Amino acid sequence: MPLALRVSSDALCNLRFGCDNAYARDGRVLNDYIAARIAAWQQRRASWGGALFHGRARPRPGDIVLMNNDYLMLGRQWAVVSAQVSALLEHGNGLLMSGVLVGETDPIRDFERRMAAFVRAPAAMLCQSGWSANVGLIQAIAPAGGPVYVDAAAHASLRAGIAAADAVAVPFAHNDCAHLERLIARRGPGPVAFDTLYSVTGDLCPLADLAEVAARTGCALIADESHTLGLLGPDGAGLVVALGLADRVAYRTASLAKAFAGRAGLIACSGQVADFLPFHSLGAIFSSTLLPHDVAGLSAALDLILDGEDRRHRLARNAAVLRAGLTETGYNISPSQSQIIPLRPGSEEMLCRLQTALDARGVFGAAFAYPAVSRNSTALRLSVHSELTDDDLGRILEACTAIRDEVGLSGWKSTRSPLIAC
Amino acid sequence: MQINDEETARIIKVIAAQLEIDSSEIGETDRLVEDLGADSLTLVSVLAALEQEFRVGIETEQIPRMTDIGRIRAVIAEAPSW
Repeated sequence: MPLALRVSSDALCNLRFGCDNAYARDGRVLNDYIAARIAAWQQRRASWGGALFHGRARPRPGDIVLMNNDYLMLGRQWAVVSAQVSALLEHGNGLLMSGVLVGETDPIRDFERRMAAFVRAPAAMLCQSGWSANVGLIQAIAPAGGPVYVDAAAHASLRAGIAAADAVAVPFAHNDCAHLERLIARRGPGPVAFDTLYSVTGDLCPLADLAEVAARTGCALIADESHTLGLLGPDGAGLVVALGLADRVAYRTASLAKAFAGRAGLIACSGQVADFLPFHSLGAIFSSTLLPHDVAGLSAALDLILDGEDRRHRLARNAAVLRAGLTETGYNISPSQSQIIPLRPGSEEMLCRLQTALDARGVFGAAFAYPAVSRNSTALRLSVHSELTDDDLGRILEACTAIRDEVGLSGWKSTRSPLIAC
Repeated sequence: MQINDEETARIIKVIAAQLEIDSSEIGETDRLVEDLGADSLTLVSVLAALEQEFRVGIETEQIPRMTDIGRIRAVIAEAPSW
């Protein structure tokens, strides 16, 4: 290796890791910390006894894919795809610049106004992802050192936002409003962050009760509607609107990579906050704004969602059929009450065995392992969508029935001891 | 507050319910995470359930101390009543 390059890499290594002994014998830049982490990762992967993520078989034509969050199956709709293609042909990749530079007449702003009206909020702001929506919002609104109450099962991005704000994360027991209220009584008011529908367990939050606690204690609610937006409430406006609580939830966020079948995030809030956020949310300032075809696709998806009552009805029906069938077959899928249905085999090794068994029968779920869940509480999530046929549902149940002995269903902790209903 | 045998049994019952296991599976020195499979989400639920059961306030900062029955007993003994 040329000396100049070595010196350059060495300097880079010192900058990134603050170490002098970072060269392994073969010249790779690894310090003890990352080397230990990689070794632990390799050991963990070996313990699975098979391919859990990388190396997994790809679905073949005709297989049933349930790892997709496109719950209304809009991602391949002609209206969505053609809108994206038209935007690409007309604008290319648009202007690659920070969102703070986007003008009032840009289609992004038009879509933000449409989304605000859709969710019955005064204003809305688009972000690059659901993650950046949660991180950017909390980082901008939560005072450093102050408490932010967060459901213990809430999405990791809410915790990341609290950390970015240098605020204090105060977890409350999942869906336990009494615990939340006791914590607020001891620590004082602060934002309360939670998911409206939990992405692993598939259960809803007790939104009306949370709103009552917030009103009694002077706290502001942050509701992540990623898995309910487009699916629940009038026109799919979400759980907050469904329960008539739009005026009592200060902030709503969502990933638009679920029912909106795109690649963006959303913050719905007051006009004043929406005016403030683009200049104080670091993700908004220091990331490039959305591309024209992203916005065109999302706007077309919103049209379909507004007209999507049939799809929502089919989704709810398919989810109910699958939940009932799996329960009858002996799977404990509690506390799911939605299109998100977890099979909970326990260890990562058991998860790998379950996934392999279902993959072989043409049913593809999404594996959830640490850090998405704890190491012994893994899940294979089945995300139901609206276009599954009766034949599809029958094949899923047939596969789940056939593998029961192979995956040791009777020995799963979730089978032996039903989860306490929340 | 002093924790007697009857109250220790109540602690074990609360933990068993949250961990979805039988009370008989929990030994005095079993570690909640390493031996009984608790995770961070369950530990918060255990804390909330113990608060409710004993009518005391336990801060989340105490979770790292709450590693087994003996240490949980000590945390509850120190916790202020409602």
